[in-house]
Amino acid sequence: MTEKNLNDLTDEELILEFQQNDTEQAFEILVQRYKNPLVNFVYRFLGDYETCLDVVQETFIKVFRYKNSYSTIAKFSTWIYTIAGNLARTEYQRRKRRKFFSINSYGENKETFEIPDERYRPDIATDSGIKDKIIQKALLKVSQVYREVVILRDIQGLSYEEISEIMGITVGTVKSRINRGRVQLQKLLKDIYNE
Amino acid sequence: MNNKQMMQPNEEENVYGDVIGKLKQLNNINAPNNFEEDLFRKINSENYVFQKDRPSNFFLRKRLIPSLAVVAVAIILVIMIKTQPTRPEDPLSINPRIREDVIASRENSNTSVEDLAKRGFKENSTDQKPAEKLKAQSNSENNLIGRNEISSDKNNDTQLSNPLTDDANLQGYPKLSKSAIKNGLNFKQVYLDKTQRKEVAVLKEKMEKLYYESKN
Repeated sequence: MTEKNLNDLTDEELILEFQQNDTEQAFEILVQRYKNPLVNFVYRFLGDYETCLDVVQETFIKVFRYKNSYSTIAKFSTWIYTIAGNLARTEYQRRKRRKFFSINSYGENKETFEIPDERYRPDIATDSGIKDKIIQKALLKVSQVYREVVILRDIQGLSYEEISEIMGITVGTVKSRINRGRVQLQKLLKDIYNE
Repeated sequence: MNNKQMMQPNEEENVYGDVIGKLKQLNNINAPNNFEEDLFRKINSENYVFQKDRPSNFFLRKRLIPSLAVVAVAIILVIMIKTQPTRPEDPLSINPRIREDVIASRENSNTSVEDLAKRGFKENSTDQKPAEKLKAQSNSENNLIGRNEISSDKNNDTQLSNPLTDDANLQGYPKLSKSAIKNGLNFKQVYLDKTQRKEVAVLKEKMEKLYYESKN
């Protein structure tokens, strides 16, 4: 199969091609299609660009290594988002623990410190950088459970059904979590703008 | 249920339109240009590690060889010790089996049967009983059993059929011949003391007297 033909295939057809014939080009096309949405999703969830890149690369490595565990019943997008979400959650917990044991113990008044990632700064790269920074700061303060669904719905633009499949929860739970997340975010943004 | 929970998705999106709008306006964060390059480099190195971690190569790891060798030697030693045939016990070094059915007095337990036999012979020889007396004694024993009621011919026959006892009587072994060596036989052996034997003899004499008196 030529590369032109492969580009015409859907995600599910590409992963099937990769599963059956070990066509690495099919995998490369999938990487091209999903690298930016996944980087955006993980970055908004973790707030650290370098860590986000590591998580996304790990996601693709898992897809490459465990390609046969994917079944055609599910959508490829939900499968890859599930892997990325799980890895991002694990990384978030690890960072939280690390922060608790390292910075919290050294702080004079037991205050927590946010270490900014200075290597990648969207605020410098674009004009609307300040706004971005404020929203991202507020988003990171939303509870982890609500943050993930809000990002998937309002930033990534996924449907409720897709989110419920990715998270492994019912559509009703997805909706209520999104609402709660939005309420928290609204309050946080108000507070930030008032500051 | 409050109003917020009752709301439909579209209504919710109107309520939180401001927040949703802000989130949608966020800049897209993209992967760097060298993302794929890094990814495939990692995948290739991961593949190498993945192949190395396979269980088929587990035993080929150099650092495991010494410990595996020690384990193998230990297993071989255990197998050798366990499977070694047990040595046959030296019958001379085995203690004799304690037989509970044999009751022996403390005195007799230290003396052999041969000693007892000799002792009996000595006692009899010191008494210097005449042959007739011994014969009469054996007859009296037979009488006790009821053999004397049988005809004299038959009496002779029984005497003939028991030449050993007769010979023993003649040689002065009246009682020991009857209590022949029973060592090794599987029945209860009772060794009598000197006093016990005397008591038994006295009882026998009494019985004989009573028997003759009743007859007369």
